[in-house]
Amino acid sequence: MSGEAAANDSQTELERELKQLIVDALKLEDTAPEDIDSAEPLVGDGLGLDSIDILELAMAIHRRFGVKTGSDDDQNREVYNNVRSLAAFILDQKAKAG
Amino acid sequence: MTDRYPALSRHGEPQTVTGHAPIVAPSLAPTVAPSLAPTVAGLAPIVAPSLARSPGVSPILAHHEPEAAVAFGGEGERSAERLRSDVARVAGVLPDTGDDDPREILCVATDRYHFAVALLAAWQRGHRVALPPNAQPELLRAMADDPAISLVIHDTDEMTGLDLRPLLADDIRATPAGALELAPLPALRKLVSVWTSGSTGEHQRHAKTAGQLFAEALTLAEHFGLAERGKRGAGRARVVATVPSHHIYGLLFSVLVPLVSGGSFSRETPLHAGVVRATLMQTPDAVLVSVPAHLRALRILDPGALPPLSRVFSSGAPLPPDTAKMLSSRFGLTVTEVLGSTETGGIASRLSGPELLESDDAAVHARAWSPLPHVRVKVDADGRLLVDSPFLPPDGPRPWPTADRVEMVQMVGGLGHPGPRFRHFGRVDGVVKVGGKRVALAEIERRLHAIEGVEDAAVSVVEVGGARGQETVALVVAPGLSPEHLRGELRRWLDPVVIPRRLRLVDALPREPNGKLTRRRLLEIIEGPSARIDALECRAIASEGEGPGRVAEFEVYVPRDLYCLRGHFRGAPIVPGVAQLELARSVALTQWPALGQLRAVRRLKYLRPVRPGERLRLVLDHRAEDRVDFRLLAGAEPVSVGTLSFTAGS
Repeated sequence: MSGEAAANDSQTELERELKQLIVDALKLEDTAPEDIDSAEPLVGDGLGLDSIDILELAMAIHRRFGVKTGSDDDQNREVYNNVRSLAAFILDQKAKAG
Repeated sequence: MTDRYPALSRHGEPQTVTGHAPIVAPSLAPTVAPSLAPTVAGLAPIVAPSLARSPGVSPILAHHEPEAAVAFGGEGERSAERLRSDVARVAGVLPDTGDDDPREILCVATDRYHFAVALLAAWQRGHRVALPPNAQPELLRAMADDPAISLVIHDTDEMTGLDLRPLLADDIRATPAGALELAPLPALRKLVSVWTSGSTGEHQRHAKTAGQLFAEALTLAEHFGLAERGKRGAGRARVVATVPSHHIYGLLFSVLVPLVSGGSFSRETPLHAGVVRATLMQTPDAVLVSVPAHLRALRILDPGALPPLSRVFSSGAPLPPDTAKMLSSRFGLTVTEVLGSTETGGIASRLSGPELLESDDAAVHARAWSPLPHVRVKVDADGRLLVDSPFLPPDGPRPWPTADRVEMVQMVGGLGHPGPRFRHFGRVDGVVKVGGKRVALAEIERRLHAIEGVEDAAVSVVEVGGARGQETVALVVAPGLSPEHLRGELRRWLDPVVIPRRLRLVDALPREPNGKLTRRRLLEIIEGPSARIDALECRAIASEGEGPGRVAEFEVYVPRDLYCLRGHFRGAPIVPGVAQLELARSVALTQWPALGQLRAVRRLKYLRPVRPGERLRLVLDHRAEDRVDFRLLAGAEPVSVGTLSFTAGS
């Protein structure tokens, strides 16, 4: 398997894990993990999360992956845009740490 | 021996308790209304003597040298002199206002410095400023179109009106406007109107006078020592706020207090723990102004990752004990909680730290509230808190009946500051707080009713752990609509935090015969075990008995709350084909268990979408030993058909 394919695999796997984490951590009883589209916005008219949800999610992600959100709010907004951007951020942080 | 005893108020006359007596003229302070001072320049000698300056000088910037910072952050530091000149520049382009013009200017700046400039400029030109209840775009646009709003001052691309950014840009400042000497504002002039969520559901406007706002800002600055030089002589209070300045808490603590005490504020409003940390690291001895939900999120930072802070304020909701413990053990922080409301201003404060939570007596002590200076509190016979203070509206009732339930606690001996305190038990009306945001349940109901297709709705509140404290829940009758659609509609108007997390669609609200809906019945449904309805409802109406060659008929109902309606079909809920197939399979097996297991499905056709609330007919034809044809019909119209093959006989 090429490195790129492996990276794609881990991205997909992580996206799946994140969707489960979002549903569990935020107790979204109306939503199943597979209902969340990786590209749909987490905040507002997508999944409809609010600022407190995002903070809760940041705590859950830190517990699970040991990854912290950065010190720049513009960047955080991009990271927390959707599941895909969040997964990419976590992979990137873990790669830097490893 | 007990360390506390119940207040006399339980048995008779209201008990009166006075807060810390001021150092100077204690007999004057609680009784002299600041409105007796003709302008806000006369307030400091009465409410905060240590902050008094020469008479006739506005308290705004009274303690700033011209070059002293008033604002800091990524967008650059701003000095008091620069603020004066920027205020002059903006004041110069604002329209005149008549003495009795009821219209207001809406300020929606995201940069706290811009907000302060807009506020001061509007005030200097005699305008009253409208503060929005939240920053949802639809609500801001609706407010902007309100005839009561004369102008919108903003600093974003999303709004129209007076954009501050070009006015305050550096290149325009090549020809500086003369610095404006701020005129002391008349104490009785109404400076802001806070649009709050009233218990009736309508937004109510609460005008606050210059006397109210500045008496409180000066009192807070003196009482909490915010005007003193930092421990390292680095300067006065530098405020970092995670809350917006359009709420009264943010306005007072993150804008007015620094402006009257020689302090400064962060232009940005950090939210994420990492950003809060980065901002605090650049701000020695900062004062952090926050709410419990935001403080709780600091948990992800490493122990010791926060620099020493001169004070942490929290308001809006009680600080959960585990958040208090976490802040103390990880960062050595003690939190000053402030109790107040838009109508009354600040009422009381308390310190939350684990050392205060160790013993039972200490816990009672720590969780009880001490009135702020100049605030007198009473409890009426019903346990309702009555307040009298210089922060109340000058034309309102005194004492002011709040919507809070309290009980007096008296502590004696050994615990530092024995004195009058009270415990707080929440509100007596339909106004609740979710994640620190106040909302009227009636308002959520009203917004639900306003959505096209909603026939009935009821909203309540339940206690939950974590950052929210409590959350709203709703029962809604809305044939054909999905929870996601309803939430999306609410989001246009309401702060996302207060939108019902659990929103259940039902056929009818469980009203009593007299039409009333009790909270208990509502919660029974919300918290009932049938929280997740996985199957369509199905009832046999005709059956020709056992075995092949028989036909059975069933009435099918699609519950509005069917779990599989969620998800991909949020906008337009339809029953997935797989759910229809599963219904046919399971009903066939219940009817004829000898069929065995499903082996294959053939000739499967979904002919038209099935929507929640529909009543259908399921016809099963057991036409061979291992075979069942199914038809799902709406009247005579087929909805889905197919042939199910089973393992029977093989």
